[in-house]
Amino acid sequence: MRNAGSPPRLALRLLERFSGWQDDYGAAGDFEEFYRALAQEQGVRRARRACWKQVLAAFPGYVKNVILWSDAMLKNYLKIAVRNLRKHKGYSFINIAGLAVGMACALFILLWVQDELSFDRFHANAETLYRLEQESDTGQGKFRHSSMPYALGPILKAEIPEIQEATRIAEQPSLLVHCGEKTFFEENVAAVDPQIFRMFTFPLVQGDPATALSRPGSLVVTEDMAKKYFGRADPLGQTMTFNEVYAFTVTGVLKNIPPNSTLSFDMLVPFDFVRTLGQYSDSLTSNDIHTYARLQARSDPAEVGAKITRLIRDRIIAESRTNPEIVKNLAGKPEVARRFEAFQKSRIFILMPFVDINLFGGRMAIRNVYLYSALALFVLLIAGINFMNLATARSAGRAKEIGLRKVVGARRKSLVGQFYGESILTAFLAGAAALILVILLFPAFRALSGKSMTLHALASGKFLFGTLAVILFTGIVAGSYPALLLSSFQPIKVLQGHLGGGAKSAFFRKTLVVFQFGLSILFLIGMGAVSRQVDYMRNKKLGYDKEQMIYLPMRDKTASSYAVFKERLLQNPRILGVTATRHPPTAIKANDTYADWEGKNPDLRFRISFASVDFDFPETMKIEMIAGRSFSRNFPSDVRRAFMVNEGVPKLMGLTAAAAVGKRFVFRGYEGTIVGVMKDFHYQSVRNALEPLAVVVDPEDFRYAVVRLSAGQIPASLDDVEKTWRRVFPRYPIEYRFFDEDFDQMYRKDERMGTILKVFSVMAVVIACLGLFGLASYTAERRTKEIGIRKVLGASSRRIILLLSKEFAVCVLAANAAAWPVAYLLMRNWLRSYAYNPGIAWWMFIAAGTGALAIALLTVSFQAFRAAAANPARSMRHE
Amino acid sequence: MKLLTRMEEIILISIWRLGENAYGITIREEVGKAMGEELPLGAIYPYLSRLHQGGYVKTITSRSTPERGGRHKILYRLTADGRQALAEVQEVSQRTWDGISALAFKKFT
Repeated sequence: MRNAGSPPRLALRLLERFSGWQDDYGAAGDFEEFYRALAQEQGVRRARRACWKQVLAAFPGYVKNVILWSDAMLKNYLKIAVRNLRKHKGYSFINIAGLAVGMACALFILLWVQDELSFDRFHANAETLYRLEQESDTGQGKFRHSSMPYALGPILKAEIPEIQEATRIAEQPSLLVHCGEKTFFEENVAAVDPQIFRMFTFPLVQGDPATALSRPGSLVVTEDMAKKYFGRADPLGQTMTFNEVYAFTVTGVLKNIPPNSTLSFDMLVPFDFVRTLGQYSDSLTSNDIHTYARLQARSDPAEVGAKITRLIRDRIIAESRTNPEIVKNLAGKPEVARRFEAFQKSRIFILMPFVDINLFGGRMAIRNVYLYSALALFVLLIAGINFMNLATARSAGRAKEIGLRKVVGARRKSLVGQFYGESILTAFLAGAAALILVILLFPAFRALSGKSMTLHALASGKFLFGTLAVILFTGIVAGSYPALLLSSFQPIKVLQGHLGGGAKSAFFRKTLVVFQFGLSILFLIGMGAVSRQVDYMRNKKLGYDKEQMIYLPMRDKTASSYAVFKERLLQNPRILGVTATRHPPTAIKANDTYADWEGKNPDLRFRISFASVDFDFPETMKIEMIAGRSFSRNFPSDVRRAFMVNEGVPKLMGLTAAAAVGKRFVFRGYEGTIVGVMKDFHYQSVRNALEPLAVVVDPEDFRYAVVRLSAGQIPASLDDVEKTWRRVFPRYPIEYRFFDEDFDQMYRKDERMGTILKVFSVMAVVIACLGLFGLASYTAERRTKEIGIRKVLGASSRRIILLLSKEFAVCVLAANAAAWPVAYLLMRNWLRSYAYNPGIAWWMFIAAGTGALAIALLTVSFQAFRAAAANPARSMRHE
Repeated sequence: MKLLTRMEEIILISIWRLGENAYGITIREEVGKAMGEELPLGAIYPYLSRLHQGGYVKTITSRSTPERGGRHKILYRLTADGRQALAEVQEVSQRTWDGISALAFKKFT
């Protein structure tokens, strides 16, 4: 006979449970024997079946037993729990309120995290979609980006079998759209391959996704756009004109794209449009558009990425011999050719899972997910500690009950169960309160998080499941210490009136209070640090005067009439200055590493920022010159053949500012001399370090007009600008931005973090104080008699208040000692991400510490006053 | 005097009958024979446990055998108390049934 093995383990376990084999009565062995005997006679299958039958047979008895017993006990436990909650209304309130607030925080964060995780999940094929990215080595470290050659998409589809579908998305810079009487600039237009509708779940409300983008000149607009341009009229078949020349006919209406989508557009046109605009290039060396791919199920993205890398490398090597432009550029320049080859060989293609883009892509939402989850967990922990502390502090009151239960025969296990049950019941009550809080505070949360969520998010299965998890987690974590401590009481001692381990548990309670306040202080310091940083950035001297400054994008053909616009504006005395730039003047982000000057070490490369500007740039911006002169029309060579630099450039050159003037300088295809050195000014967010900057005058390269308005006459001068614009560019709508708006936006992220930290700090402090209040009232009550005796013996009220406050003050001081080093390290790390920061301020630590101490003492002193003011004659009769 | 329950009585008698070889499996078989139907396998252990705690039986741990998967066998023997209790039960039931013939009920079934 073959080996029968052993009976099913699970069956044995279940049977053990059901039959309540407490001690060893040989049951397990008997069961085994029973099984083997059967197996030998009738075969393993039957034996196994017989085992399971035995399990089933034992089940009804088990259920009867459990229900009979536990039902009675459960009712009793519940009754005691409810009675306890009712009897100590104050404590119950502190517990439930604290937990509710903590849980509400956790639930909000849960909503937020859920929203972040839901990004892009609505696509039916989300799991098989990838965005193509490439990593290359520019000689200054690795650089990863998602711009792809125009020609890549179709090549991938044709050459790589694992790629089922590929679509190219070319986001267009703003387009001037005419439609009947209506004219707008549209920023969110993309030229795409028609496969987009097969890969992504972007449903059309009207039109056929298979043909909507197949013909040139077809156009798909979102519902919002349809409403904007056509109102209630049927959008299908309507025509729109882009940039005054390209006519499109609406062939489809796209359902509005949900906010939790990384891809977002208002209008889609066929990919051909990039050819029409003359942007298309067959070369694989170009990197201009985005490409998305859908892989076959179960293919390995890393492998496919490697395949693409090899394919493109081969093609580029072939191209560099045939593409006339590249051949021309490289001919006779071995150094350039070598660099070109090294760069192309360093290009690696990577498939970024589409659903990971939000969390791990440029936005790095995962960082905030971690940060805010940690904050919420801490607040919840602070609330849980209140529960623990109050439960163990009041254990004296429960001790008799526990002793009696034990005497009557309760096992420790059932007592542990009882206390867990109580804490979970409390957690459920708090959870219900938390849900109400969440609903009430939802609008505030939406404003704070900047997310367009609706209350429907609360009804999702995931959220409800998460809520349940939060409740159970809180109940179990908060309940575990009381459950283990209280159930360990020895009935003899307890019933005699002795409570063992009093000092030990009091020490533990204090440690928890220290932890609570430590976290609160940490939050307070964090909040202070963030708002100080924001203030610092806001008030930092920029090196120019940003007040009353606006800039206007010069789109399309308006750029060519800039000179007229400027001249007309300057005729108005209310306009103090006009200049122009290639980049938004608050965010000049172009830079290059190939600059050359007299006496440069050819082996070294430096990154230098670059901008082309108009004459009057320093004058309009009010940038100080420290050497040389500003650009001037009196020197014809100042156009394209002269540079102004900031202080960083002479430093790179190893010269003083004055010595740098007049030196030859070659940069970005411009060759000329340095005519002036400007004082450093912040041409980017203050978050970034100021880098060397060189500017040149190139009238063909202006995209923004920059205008200084008169202080005190802003509305009037703004009106003048508008009138002038309308006279010069009657066909174009005017757009302008104040510099101030840009700066506000730059700091919005930091400010949001500051506000969120503020909310959490307040929560943490309030909850911790609630707990302290409960603990203080308990201490005061327990020491009623002692205080009475002290008063009778002549202690003043002040001494008594001091006596009661002292132990808590010590806790808060210890919390400071624990929190400060942690806060210091965190702050130092965080400040490193800002090029300019006000450093670490010690007063902030002191302020947070004394603030927490003051609030704690205030909380405690209320109870202390009451205790101290009590009539000793009455106190003595206490207990 | 404390009387055994019916189930306890049947199990005790079975153990006495089995003598040297009373353990879970055999006891269950014996009880099954007496009652005319098999008990679930797990059902006898709570009774054994109660009888053991009451001092009616003692357990002997015998060495493990391969057919028991390396687990040892617990053998049960009556104690003096157990024998005494059985004797009392027997006495009581004999007194109770005295003078009633088995045939008296047969008619009605």
